[in-house]
Amino acid sequence: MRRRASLVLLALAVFFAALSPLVRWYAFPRLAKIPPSQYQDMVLEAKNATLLDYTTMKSKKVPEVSIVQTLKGNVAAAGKVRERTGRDVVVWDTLSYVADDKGRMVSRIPERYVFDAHSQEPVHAGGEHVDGDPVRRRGIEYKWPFGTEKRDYEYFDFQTRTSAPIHYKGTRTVHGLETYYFEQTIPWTKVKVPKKLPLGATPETVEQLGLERWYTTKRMFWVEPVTGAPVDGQEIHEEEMRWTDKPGKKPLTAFAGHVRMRPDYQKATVDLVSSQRRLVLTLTTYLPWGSLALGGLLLVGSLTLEARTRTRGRPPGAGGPPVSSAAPGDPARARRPSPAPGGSGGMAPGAVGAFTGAFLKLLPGRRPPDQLTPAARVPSCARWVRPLRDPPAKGAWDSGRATRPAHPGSPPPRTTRDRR
Amino acid sequence: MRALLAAAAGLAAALALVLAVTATGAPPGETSKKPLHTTVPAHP
Repeated sequence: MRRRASLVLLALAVFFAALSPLVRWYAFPRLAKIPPSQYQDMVLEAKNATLLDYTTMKSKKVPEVSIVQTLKGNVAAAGKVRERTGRDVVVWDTLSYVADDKGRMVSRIPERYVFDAHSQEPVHAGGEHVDGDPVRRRGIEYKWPFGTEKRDYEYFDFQTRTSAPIHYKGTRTVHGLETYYFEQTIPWTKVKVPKKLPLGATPETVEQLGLERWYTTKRMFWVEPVTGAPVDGQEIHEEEMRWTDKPGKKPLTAFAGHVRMRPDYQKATVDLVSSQRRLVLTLTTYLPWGSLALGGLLLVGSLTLEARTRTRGRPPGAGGPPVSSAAPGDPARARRPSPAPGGSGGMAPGAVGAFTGAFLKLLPGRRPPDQLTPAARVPSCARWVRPLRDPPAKGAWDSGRATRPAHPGSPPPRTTRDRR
Repeated sequence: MRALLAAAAGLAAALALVLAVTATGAPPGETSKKPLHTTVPAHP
């Protein structure tokens, strides 16, 4: 019964020990993914910002400018890309909508972003665009990969349509969460005019006025490293309309302000990321380490049971390797091979047996085979079996005259009465 | 031998469980009916 229980414990030990790397290295990359149907919005605001008034073509201070970003997963498009590439991808249709303090549109820039659902690596399966212009992204945008590292990443800037490094600058704590702080500075760069502007203005009308759009920003992100989700984002952002034919003329400030996450959205983001973080940690840390520890405990339990089984099965006073619970005179026992030198007995050969042997050294009053006296090292079954192979003369057992044949290192001869 | 069989059974069960869970995966869901915002939302 104990032997059966030790085998069950051994099977469970292997189950949990195997589960540990399987969950971490096989299941995690396949399960931790951005769902293709994700829908998320974010509001950022710039207080006391400067904005270009397109009616007067003059810059003015406004109390607040809001940037509303919406990300919507396109499930049908993701399915088509998956059919073509065989990869689990997410297709985000996004909109960055800028509104002034009265809620009027300042600009709106749509995007399509196609990326790997686990690694966040861009997937070039067609359809990627920024404001209708086809692009080919490198690096990340909006979200970092699961298990963000303390290093620089390539970050796609949708205004310039190019990628540039975003630098890791250290760890910071945001609302109790440890985050990695990243910073990217885009120097003054000429960029395209958004296709949708106030008062029906278009890139063509702006060009006819002799203006071109320039932009610079310092972009800052506080990224929760387990999920790779930014829990705070800020930009010190400036845009100018520069005169193409009049380099000496003062440019018009189209926008200037310090953009921050609106506090209620930041709190909602922190709450969402905190719950997702626990799920990711379950797959990367809690389950792998927990099952490994449980596997170790079960293995110890299995070995303990096995050792006790064999200790109980030994004849009193014998120091040799364990014997089974079969009766000494059992002919079936005589046919069994003697235990392996590792001392594993009927438990297990090979590695498990070696482990058992090492474990037995730790048990009090139990000497491992290599430390036993020569007499004790003799396989115990041989001591019991030998008389059966050379049976004594009829009646010798009962008279107590029968002795076992000499065997190198065998203990002093015992009579059948001794055994009784 | 029995120990090897027990270990193999444990390993097979772990593999089967993980393969089954990963093969099932998560349903893709549906594209949200909510629009891309063109107004400033009042709250998250």
